[in-house]
Amino acid sequence: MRTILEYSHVTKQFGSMYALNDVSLTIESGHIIGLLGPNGSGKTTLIKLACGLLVPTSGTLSVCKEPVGPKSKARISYLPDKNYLSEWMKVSQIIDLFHDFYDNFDRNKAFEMLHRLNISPDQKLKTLSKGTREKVQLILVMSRNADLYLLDEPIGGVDPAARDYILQTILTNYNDNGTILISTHLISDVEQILDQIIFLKNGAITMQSSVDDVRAQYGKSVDELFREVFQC
Amino acid sequence: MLSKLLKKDFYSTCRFFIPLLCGYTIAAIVGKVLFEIVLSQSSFSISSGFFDGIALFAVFYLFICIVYLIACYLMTSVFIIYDFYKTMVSDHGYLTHTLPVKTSTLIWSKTLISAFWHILVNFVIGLSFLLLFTGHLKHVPVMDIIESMIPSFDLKLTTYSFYTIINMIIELFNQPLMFFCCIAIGQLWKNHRILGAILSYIGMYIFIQILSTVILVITGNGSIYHHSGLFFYNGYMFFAALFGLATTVIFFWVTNYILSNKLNLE
Repeated sequence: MRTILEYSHVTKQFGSMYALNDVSLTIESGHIIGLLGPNGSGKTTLIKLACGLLVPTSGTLSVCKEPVGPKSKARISYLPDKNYLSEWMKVSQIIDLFHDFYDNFDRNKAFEMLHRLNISPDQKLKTLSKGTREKVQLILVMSRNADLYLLDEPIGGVDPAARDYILQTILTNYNDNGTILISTHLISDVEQILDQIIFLKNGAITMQSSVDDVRAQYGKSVDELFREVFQC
Repeated sequence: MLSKLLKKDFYSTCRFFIPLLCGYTIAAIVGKVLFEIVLSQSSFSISSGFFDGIALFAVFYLFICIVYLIACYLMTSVFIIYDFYKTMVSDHGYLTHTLPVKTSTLIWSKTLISAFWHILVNFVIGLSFLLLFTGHLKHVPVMDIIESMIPSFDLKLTTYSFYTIINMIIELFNQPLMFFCCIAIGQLWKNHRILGAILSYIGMYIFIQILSTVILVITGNGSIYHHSGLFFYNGYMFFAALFGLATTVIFFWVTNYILSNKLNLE
């Protein structure tokens, strides 16, 4: 086990609002972790800070003992909760782009997954449906042999059948020695694949535990515990 | 990584510039054909309603070409700004800023691509003029035009060319970096970031104009009455190069600092 991601007293403010408040967290390799919390709890902020898309107001964070920068970015495979690819590009051009920039990108794996989903590499992104575009993004992310996969709401906008496919894709394609951090509020869908959970509420971590411990200690599923903890 | 970024940015901007330049080239070729028809009409003293119509159309067409030419210059800057905004601080920034490259390399790539397109646009426009006058250059007093462009001081063509080229090269980097810097400053605003960038540009432009004038006056380079014309011109051009270089470095540093330390892609 090695430390993959470490937050030390990280605070992120947007104006007077605290998105994250003095968060300290250590994540180790070889886990699939659910980052769970209601909307606005700071899940996306926590992930974006690790990717370098946001800069903390105070505190420090490191990825594989490296400060956030080009070296850490080479080890993170990030799936944002929005379409971040240029729509004028063909799928094959995007694959070439990822292949150019990421040493750990497996081009054959990407084409294989595209083939399985009947997505033509010659199609432009703008001609694809929203759901197919999301699948292309997931294929790009999971075709990397990364140390840390940061998946922000990967099943947020898709139908239940597609959810199963996405979760299956994640499970069968990630680097076994790496760690996956999945941010979601659709807990019942992802609970089956998680081995750890982090509960986030109002920008603070309220629980970090293994799924087995949750079941043993509370006698409940993660979904049931979540509903209890975060009930309105 | 810079070469990979240059490749990415080149393809990304090609889709704007290739149609723009192809359109201009076609317009220039059609202009040349019309120009030759009108010239042949005048040399053979042909006068008919048909040829008068062509001559009128040629004048109108020339006007459209000039508008297109101005649009080419404007659109070059607009495309460069749009590409920077889109790929650095909007949704596509999620990809750009998660690539394993330094922020400074990202800015270098954008700046070099901007310089490349500016050079190419100027080259194509220059060629279009050459095409227009091909076969008639003996009637064009080229040296007289060049001489008339040089201020009537005791200045050599080589000195004038040297200063002009140096300042043009600096401007190639200075102009896009000023835009990039303003977009980066706009990102410091909590809301209305585009408005922030526009206001930053206006404020920065006014400030730079005032600052350059003040420095010119203080250093004594601002007045032609106190020195010979040559001294004034040399001093002014040297100052312009130095000031342009200094502001270019500042623009780059500010853009890099903000995008490295204050990035907030919300």
